[in-house]
Amino acid sequence: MSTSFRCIVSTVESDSHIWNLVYLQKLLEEHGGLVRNLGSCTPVAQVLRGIEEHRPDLLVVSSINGHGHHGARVLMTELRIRGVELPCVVGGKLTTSESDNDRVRGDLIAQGWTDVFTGEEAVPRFRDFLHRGKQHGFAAWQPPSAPVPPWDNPELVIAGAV
Amino acid sequence: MSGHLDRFVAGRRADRTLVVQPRMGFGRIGAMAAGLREVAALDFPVVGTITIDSYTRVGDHTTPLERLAADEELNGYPLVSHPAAATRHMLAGLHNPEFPVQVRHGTALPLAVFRRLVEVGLDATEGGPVSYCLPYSRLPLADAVRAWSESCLLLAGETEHGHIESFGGCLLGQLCPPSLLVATAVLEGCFFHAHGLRHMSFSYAQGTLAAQDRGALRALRTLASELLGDVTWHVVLYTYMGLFPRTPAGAGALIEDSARLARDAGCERLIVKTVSEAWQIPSVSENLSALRLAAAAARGPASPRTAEEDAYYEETLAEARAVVEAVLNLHTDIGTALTEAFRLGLLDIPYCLHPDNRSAATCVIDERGALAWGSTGNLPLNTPTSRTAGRLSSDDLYGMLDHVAERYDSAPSEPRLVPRP
Repeated sequence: MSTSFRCIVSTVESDSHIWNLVYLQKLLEEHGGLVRNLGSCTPVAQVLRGIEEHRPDLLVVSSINGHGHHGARVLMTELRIRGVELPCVVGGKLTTSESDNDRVRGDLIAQGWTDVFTGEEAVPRFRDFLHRGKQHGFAAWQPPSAPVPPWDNPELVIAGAV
Repeated sequence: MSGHLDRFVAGRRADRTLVVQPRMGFGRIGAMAAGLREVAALDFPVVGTITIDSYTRVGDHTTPLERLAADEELNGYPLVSHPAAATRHMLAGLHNPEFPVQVRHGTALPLAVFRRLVEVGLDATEGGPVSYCLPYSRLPLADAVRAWSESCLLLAGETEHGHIESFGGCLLGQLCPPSLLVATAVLEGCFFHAHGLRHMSFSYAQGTLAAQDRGALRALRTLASELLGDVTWHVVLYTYMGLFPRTPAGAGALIEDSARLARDAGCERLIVKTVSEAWQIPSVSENLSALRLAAAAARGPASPRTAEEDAYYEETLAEARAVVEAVLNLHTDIGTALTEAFRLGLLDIPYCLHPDNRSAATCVIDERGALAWGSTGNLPLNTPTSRTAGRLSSDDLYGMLDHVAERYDSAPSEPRLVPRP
């Protein structure tokens, strides 16, 4: 199998789940990724070291313990402080409730994540991301916009419409 | 003599009633107290749970309070961060002989949690040097072994009847041949025993096939009796820990089947999942419904043993015994033996990404629907393996991870009159 991009798989420091990481490694390898899997409970420093050593084209963060939103924000803040420019995606179950998905996705994309994959369509959307990213480069990806419920739309809230 | 948990479980065993227990934990003291009160009020035998949040699991005791102050929820109770007096106050009038409370934590370095649980007047917890390190942490196994030695000695010294449930029968929760689960649970029991503990339980995670699980649970009892004869112990089954059915009917049927499995195999206690498990951290009422469902399903006489189950019993017992003997023969110090065993691959957890795990052994679901070795790596087994998991694609892996959920979700939702084969 020929490799066409280098990739790091990790999670957030508080998350001990591994099946998502084992699965993603296989999926990425099938799409031509040369994967370094950093395993569960990944400290931010470990991810930074991994990026320095492995020089990946893509960082894939997966979390399913409900604290991924916070962990992803912490990680992106550190990446920004260090001036690391790298397409980064995150997915899984990022808060303790599925109803947060759209809000969290908007928040993380605004913070600098290339895309956020949650909910039923997470894996098909991620496969699509990999296909297109391999052709055009992951940095060229434009995340499809999530529907914003009226109560989360700042313009409507400020206008007093909801 | 024993503590609340052991006495309570022994009493229910005498009247042949399964004890059920949720996996509940909430960040705020008020929510945790309310949850425990509602569980305690149920009219069937139940054990209370304080599950620790995952920041505390990795030894971070400041972030939990920051997240709570920022009005966020936690996925468990930050036992070490909340003041001891506040937890003691919460438990007053709740934790008693008729409602024992167990602390569930998932930490590889558990000393801070153990100190605090003793300080607040509790004596029952769970985990183990292997089962809370390799699957749940990236710390070196030798560090976890040292920390668990110290923590077990503390619990044995500071409480009269300290109880630890080995999580060795769960490991990664799914896709592990039962013989390795049985062996790990018993080996952790030997570790607890060597560190002064005389009250314990052995976990086992429901697998993919009931006959195999019944055989494995019998094998667990046989090995525990042989190796830990002077210990008060019982067996605790976990409702399937892998990908959970997404339909309420499928999830409910799986919970009920886990309760029947516990009853049929003579397990004393069942850790119950909820129907919303596939989606989110369950609420109190979802936990209560799941406990009611499980308690009701476990009533009635146990099913008789079958020839199929007997075959799985023999197979699991022989494999587990071979693994346990090989490990115990490595060194007189059980902690050293466990560390050495992983280095040599005599213990090797399929799919575990921990740096101290060899990852040469793999597990597949065979044509019978049973958990089987894909490869035995360097495990001390001469079990024939038919497939190599190196060729497993992501879809193959997903298919195995989703095997149980898919089966229960696609089953007709009408009540089943005949048990699933």
